[in-house]
Amino acid sequence: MTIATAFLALLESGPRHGYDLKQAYDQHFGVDRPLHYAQVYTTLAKLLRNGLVTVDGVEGDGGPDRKRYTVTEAGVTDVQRWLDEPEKPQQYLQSGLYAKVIGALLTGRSAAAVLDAQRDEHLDAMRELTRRKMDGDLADRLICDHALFHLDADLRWLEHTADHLDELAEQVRG
Amino acid sequence: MNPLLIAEGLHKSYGPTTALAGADLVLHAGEILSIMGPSGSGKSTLLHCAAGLTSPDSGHITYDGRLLTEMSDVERSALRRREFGFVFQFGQLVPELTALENVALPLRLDGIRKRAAERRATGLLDRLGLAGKARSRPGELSGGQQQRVAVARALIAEPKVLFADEPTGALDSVSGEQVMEMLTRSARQSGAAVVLVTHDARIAAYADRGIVVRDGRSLDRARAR
Amino acid sequence: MTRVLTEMLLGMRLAFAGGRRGRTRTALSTGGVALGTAVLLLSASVPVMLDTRQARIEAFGPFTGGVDVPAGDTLLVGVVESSWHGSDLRGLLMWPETERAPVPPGIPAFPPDGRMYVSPALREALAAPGSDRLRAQMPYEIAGTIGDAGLAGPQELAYYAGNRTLPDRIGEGAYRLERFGAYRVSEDDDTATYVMLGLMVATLLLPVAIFIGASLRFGGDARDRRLAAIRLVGGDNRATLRIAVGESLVPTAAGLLAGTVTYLLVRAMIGRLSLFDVSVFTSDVRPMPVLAALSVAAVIILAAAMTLLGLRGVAIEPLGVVRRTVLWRGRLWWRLILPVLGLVLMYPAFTGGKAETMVTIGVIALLTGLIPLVPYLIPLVVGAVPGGPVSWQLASRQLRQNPVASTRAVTGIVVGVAGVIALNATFATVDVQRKVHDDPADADYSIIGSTDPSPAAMKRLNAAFERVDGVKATTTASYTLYDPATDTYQGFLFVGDCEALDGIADIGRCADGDAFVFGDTGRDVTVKDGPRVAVPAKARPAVLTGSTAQNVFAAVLFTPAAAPEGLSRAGLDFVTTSIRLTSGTPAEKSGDIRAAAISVDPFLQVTNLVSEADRYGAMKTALNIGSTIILLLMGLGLLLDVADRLHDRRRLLGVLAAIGATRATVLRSVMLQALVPVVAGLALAVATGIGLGVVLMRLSEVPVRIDPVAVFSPVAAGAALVLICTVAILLPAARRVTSTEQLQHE
Ligand SMILES: Nc1ncnc2c1ncn2[C@@H]1O[C@H](COP(=O)(O)OP(=O)(O)OP(=O)(O)O)[C@@H](O)[C@H]1O
Ligand SMILES: [Mg+2]
Repeated sequence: MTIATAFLALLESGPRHGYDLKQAYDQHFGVDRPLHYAQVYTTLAKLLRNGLVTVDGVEGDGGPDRKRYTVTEAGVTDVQRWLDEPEKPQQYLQSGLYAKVIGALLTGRSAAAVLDAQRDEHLDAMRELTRRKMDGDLADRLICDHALFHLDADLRWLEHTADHLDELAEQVRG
Repeated sequence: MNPLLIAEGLHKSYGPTTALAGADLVLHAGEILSIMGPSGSGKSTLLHCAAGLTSPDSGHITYDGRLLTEMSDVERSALRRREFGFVFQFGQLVPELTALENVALPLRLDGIRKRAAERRATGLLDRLGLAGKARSRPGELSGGQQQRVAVARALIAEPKVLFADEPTGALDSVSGEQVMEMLTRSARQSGAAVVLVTHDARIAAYADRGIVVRDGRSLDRARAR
Repeated sequence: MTRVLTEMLLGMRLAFAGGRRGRTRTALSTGGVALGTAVLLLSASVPVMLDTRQARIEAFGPFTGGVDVPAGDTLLVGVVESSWHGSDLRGLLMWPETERAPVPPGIPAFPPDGRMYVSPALREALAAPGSDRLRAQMPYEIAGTIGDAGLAGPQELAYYAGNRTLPDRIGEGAYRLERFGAYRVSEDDDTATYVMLGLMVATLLLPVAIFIGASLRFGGDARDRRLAAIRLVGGDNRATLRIAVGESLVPTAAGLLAGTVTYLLVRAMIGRLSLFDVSVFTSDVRPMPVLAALSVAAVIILAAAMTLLGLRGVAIEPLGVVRRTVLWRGRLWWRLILPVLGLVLMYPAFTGGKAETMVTIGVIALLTGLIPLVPYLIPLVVGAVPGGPVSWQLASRQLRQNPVASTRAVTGIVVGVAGVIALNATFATVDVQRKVHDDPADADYSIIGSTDPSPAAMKRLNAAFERVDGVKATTTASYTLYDPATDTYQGFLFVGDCEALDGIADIGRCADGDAFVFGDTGRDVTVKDGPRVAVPAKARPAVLTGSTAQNVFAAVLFTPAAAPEGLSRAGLDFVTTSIRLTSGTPAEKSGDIRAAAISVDPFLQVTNLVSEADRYGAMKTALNIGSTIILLLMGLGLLLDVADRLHDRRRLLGVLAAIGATRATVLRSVMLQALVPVVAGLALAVATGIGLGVVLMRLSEVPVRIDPVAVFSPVAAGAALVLICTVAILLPAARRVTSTEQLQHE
């Protein structure tokens, strides 16, 4: 998903000023990375140029803040196309973690230590996310849960690998 | 800050099976500590030893400066009544008593009058969202509700340590998390430390800190580093 | 202190908690304790009851102890013993010699001639329809009612009548009395009766105690789990004990209360009952204080012991219930102490000793010793059949694991059946003995008196009795013979017509004028207080028959025409009328015959020879009633026990069903679990019962003989009871216990 598509989706519920757009984006999509104003205006300029939005009113001195944007037919079609297209599941085949384990085994270092360190790291992250989740609203919780489930999956992989380290070491060295 | 509970070098065997082979555990006041590890690694045994429910073959357990391993049954019972709380996977409620009576039980055992005990129990049940179920017997409650009653019972005496062994083991993830949130929130509110045994990382993530048990030995990464 | 109270209260609260099942359980325990308490209190009242009854009977007893009282301020009395509808009927005829003669207890004044005071029960019997023959026995007008002081019990049939003919009958049934209650008749029971009573009390009371114990253990497993949960939240060992005690306090206290109420109800109604021809006044039924205290203490101790025993071998730990011994290993030696002790104490029974207390204690010890022996048998029996189908495997494991629980309800049956077998077998043997003993040559009735011994009077006597339909009467007069040389008793001289003599001896052909001789009489004989009589040379030998022959070594028999001169009433032993029924039964004729006898002379003694009262009749009835009640009680206990264990194990049974055990398999295994202890227990009961029976027979001095019917009818009853109870529980529960839905609960 791009910022442009997100803006189009936000405008579909009604015209907004650029400032509102940034606020709404940060609330629903931004989570960790709030938008800079510069990004807001370059994105809007691009959308205007492509005819996906129009300006339907200017207030006051006509500065960038004062423009109200509306989505066009083409813009709505764009949103529809985005939603229609399922996200491609990530393949997770190029795992940096796995590379580290193999690296440790190849060099005769402790792969278990690598895994343990990683587990700590993951657990730290999970604790942090859990804390945020408990303080946040529903949107926060869902976002955090998404991350937690992924980290949980990683952790299970770590445990699983730890159980098979000896076998793996034999194969790698053999 | 001095640790509240220290277990050092615990060994415990059941016949030919070695359940603990030199496990350690350090718990600070008010902290939530998770114990993770594969099945059969000795997590439950460690928790039971730390809480004085079973005696280790060797090793020391110090609680609040006193040696738990040298206490009498009466002293340990008093400790369980006043300072410790327990939440297990299931089957810890008295099936014959109502939810309210179950929660009030530790206070009653400590000689507090029925009315006062039940007033406090009602308040706690309210906080755990069980106001409507106070008069139900355990058999009439769902698994999640039963666990919340168990949490309420564990916390009613405002214990210093709450021991939880797979408290969400029998629950689905939604009710499991509900129980965990209520447990950690209530524990933090009352300043209780929690020892949380689980094999689920997402449950362990409710803790401040975690140790791992493998083959009866515990790894405390925070201390190792 | 408040802690202790709180914990006890909590325990009591737990007794009421647990929904319908929990309450049922408590109610059942309460019922068991109540029943047991009532029985114990009643037993505790028996000594007082018997004592006051005895004291009362002695106080109005008109006996002199065979001493001739000189005339003075004396009362002439005559005792008339009779019976009506199987109950004893006691009559006392009296005539005061002066105004200061003693008035018998229970009546305000002497009845005038021809009038009588009657007991309330007799008044009722006289008012009832069909009492003509009773009325004929007492030709007196009713003058009033006998008060309690003159009666043994409220249902006693008695009358006190005034009779002016008594002064003429002194020595023939009438005698002088200085005061009532002067001579106390003490009956001493023989050893056998004493031991049998002891065995009977044990047979009936031990199961009650076992029942109380078992009913206090209902739901024991659930209780253990409950206590473990309490340990977890900080109850210490003593606290859990107190909670357990508090819990058992509810059924104990409630049961004691309910039992006392039951006892009082029974006591209030007891005046209306007449059991085994014994009725008692309500006021006579009071528990002996010591025994009452002992009963209550026994119940409480039993409750405490059951609670402690229940917790023994089981460690209630915070983490759950730990059975200390995984495989039950009962030790034999202490189980043998009681039986061996019992056998040792019973030893005098075989050597002919008379140590009745010792033998009784031995019998009771042996019976009590069965209780711990039954669980020990189970693993042995189960171990004998190691293989077998899955249902057997399941059942045998369970039985081995906890034989005590599996046999709890059966032990009472075993003890009861063993005792009943012993008593039954003995009664059966004594019964046979009694029937053989009675001589078929005897008449149906023997009527003894001191009436006119002249042949004409004897004819009139016969005629008086033969007015009753279906009666053939013959009469003889007997005189005592003694040997003047040694001054010892020698035999009898009988005078009677041919028919009468034929009734007492084998005489062959006979005509009036004949004489007969039996035994070694010598040339002549001497009649006590009478003449010397020469034995006629033509006297033919004869042989006395029937009970007449008993203890008679020599006799001379005369037909009236041959009767010697000089015989007078002074030397008369008795005038005996033998009555044979030619139609009708004794039950139908007794009333008429007694009435006829009384119309001739109120002092005639009527003895019914054919169905002389059974020595152990009352005990037999008591045993039958008691054992029926006890076996039903045991059945109830078994029913509850099976239901209880089924409930406790329903989760496991559900798991079995879930992993594919068929309902039949599960049911068979539950069935086997119930039946194996019963079969083993009953085998033990038969062995013990027969052994005890032999002891009792030895004591009763009858030949040892084991009647299979007497032995196996209690066994069959016990086995049938168990089968019925188990099936009654299993069939309706079958679907429920094998449903996998049980897995969802708890
Ligand atoms: N009461 C007991 N008797 C015999 N062995 C026991 C007992 N309790 C535990 N063990 C053994 O001790 C070892 C550790 O058991 P423990 O219950 O502590 O494992 P755990 O880490 O809690 O496992 P899980 O995650 O499956 O609950 C196991 O091998 C177990 O078989
Ligand atoms: Mg465990």
